Amino acid sequence: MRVEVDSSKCQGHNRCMIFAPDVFEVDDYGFATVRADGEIPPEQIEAVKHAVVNCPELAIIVRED
Amino acid sequence: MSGGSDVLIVGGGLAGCTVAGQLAQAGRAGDVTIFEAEPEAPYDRPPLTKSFLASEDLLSAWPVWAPRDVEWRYDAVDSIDLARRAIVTRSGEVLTASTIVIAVGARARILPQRSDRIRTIRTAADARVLRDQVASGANRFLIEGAGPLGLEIASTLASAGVRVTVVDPAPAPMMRLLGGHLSDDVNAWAEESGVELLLGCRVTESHDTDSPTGVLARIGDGPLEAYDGMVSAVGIEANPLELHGTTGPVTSPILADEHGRILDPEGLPIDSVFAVGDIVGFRQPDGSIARSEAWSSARVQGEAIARHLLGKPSLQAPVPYFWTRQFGRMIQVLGEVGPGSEIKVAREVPGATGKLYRVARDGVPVGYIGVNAQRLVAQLQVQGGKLAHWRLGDV
Repeated sequence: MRVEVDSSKCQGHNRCMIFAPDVFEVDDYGFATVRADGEIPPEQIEAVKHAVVNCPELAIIVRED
Repeated sequence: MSGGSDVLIVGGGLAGCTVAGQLAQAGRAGDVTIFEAEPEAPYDRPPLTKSFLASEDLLSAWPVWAPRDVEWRYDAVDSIDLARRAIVTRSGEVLTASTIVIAVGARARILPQRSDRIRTIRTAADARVLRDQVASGANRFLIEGAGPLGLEIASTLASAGVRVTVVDPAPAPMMRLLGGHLSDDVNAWAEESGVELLLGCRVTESHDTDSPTGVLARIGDGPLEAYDGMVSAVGIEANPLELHGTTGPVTSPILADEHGRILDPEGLPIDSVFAVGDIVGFRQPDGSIARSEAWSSARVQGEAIARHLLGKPSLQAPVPYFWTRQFGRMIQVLGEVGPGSEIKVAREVPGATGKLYRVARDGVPVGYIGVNAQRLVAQLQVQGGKLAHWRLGDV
């Protein structure tokens, strides 16, 4: 499973970083990015799902590969 | 039915869907039925006063928080017997369930003695009506209410070239959200966008004009002025729902405990009946009742109910978070920024106009307000735990 943030939708609420700090970080402008290459480690899947549904801009996309 | 696993959720907005979605994720989708009064697929409300009002139909139906794999019934629920856990729907159906979650939400409040022409924005249908009015040439609007909603609408309409007047009896804009702080700033943003913001006064008279949407209104003891349209943004009231089966009257807001269980008049939780979202009040340590209309609060409350139903331990509630985007600015509020608190600039965003403010009461930090300061706000939030323990030194 891979995760990415749609930068055109992200508005810097930073909920993702609160719920899954090991997966998301925030850039100098306050917008979220995915750490590393976007591959979700199995132990982070629940945290990422939590982040997805808590993003007010619906900006987090998870893809099953 | 007691001891069964079926869960009936009354209301398919963000709060009800959060409960349903968490249950579905835990493999319980087959147990869940949602009753939704609005004949429209679930959608997210925050864009209604912003992008959706401004332009094309960008509203995404079935947002990620809305579960598709539970049963959806598009019918309103008129009454609920809390003791028997029985509902009566608008179409006359009577159903019982092992668990009932009340998530009926709220509707826009309109002050008494207002014309039928006054518009509100609560639903997608509401926003479409207002957008169509602007598209067909209405270019002078009166907005009643200078809360976040009224100012977001003002900001969006002003960007579309509409002349907007906002009126509110409060002495400061967004009084409940900002506790009276940053009043000069918000006034300046409105002014630079061409929005007339009239505080400390109210609409004293309004009549219909001969044009289809037009209103003649008087503000304070000023002259009657003509507007192409009028919008009410003066808060919400619970959607009508008859509740019975308790030994006393059910209050509004409906009181619930930290798991979302409805409390009876003695303050004891009623078996397997929950409430979530805008309609719920929580007793605070000082005896007052707090209610939240925030998007993130609906999430937190919904999750607490789902965790309780699934037998999972409670999570520590995160610091309350609210945001509003208006006049080209992102305003983020963390914690409780009530009246009677002191504010000071905590950090300035290097090389930009953004600021992070710290709000304290009796020297103890109770909240933060960020204006275009998303990174600073993030750095506070990721510290987790209690707001009073957040360290600015790390920001």
